[in-house]
Amino acid sequence: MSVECTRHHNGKVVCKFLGRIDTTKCIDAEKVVMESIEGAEVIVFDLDGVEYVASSFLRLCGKASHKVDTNNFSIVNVVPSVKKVFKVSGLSEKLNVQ
Amino acid sequence: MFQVIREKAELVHLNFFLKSIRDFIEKAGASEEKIFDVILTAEEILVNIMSYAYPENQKGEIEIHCQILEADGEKKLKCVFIDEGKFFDILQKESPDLSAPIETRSVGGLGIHLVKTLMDEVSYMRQVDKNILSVVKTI
Repeated sequence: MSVECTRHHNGKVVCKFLGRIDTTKCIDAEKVVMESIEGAEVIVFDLDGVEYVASSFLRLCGKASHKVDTNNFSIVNVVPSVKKVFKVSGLSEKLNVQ
Repeated sequence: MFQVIREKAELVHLNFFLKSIRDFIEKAGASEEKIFDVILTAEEILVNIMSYAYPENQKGEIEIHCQILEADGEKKLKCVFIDEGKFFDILQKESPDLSAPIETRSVGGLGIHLVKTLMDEVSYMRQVDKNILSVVKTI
């Protein structure tokens, strides 16, 4: 699993994740992600290429989403299997999963 | 088909456990969608045991017994997770309030909710000093 966060001039930070985000990988990614989104106005998590997430990643998304105003956090390019995990956890709308 | 997987309850062994379970259900002919549900369930159960069952410097073991049950043309996977840690019945743990802010939910609560939702059956038994958690899913 890898993650790369890019800060744009308009205060938007896009974090692109790649691979399987299991518990151990999520622990590794958390510090990088939380540091990268500090002070952001809009946060986008791009999950193109992510085929698996554990509940630890859902918590990371929740934590990150509270760094910005509601509607300024979104998760994009989510494959159906991962979308299901957000849905059964009741987080699809709250985290603006697209 | 039957398989026993045993290793220390440490996060460094998580991938070993999950790969062993994946190999087992792949051989049983499960679809990718079912494999996803089983692996996610196994990960949530294992991480819970690894995080809470044993004291930090006295990690015991986790033993998993997986088998394929076939009846009436249906194939079911049954996996039993056994540890000798402190009493913990996930069925007694209330499902999280899904409308509550995610950061106020207890760690593990979401994982337990996923286990209960993704599996067909979940049962718990405390036997002397063992936690015995069984999950069943049609594959």
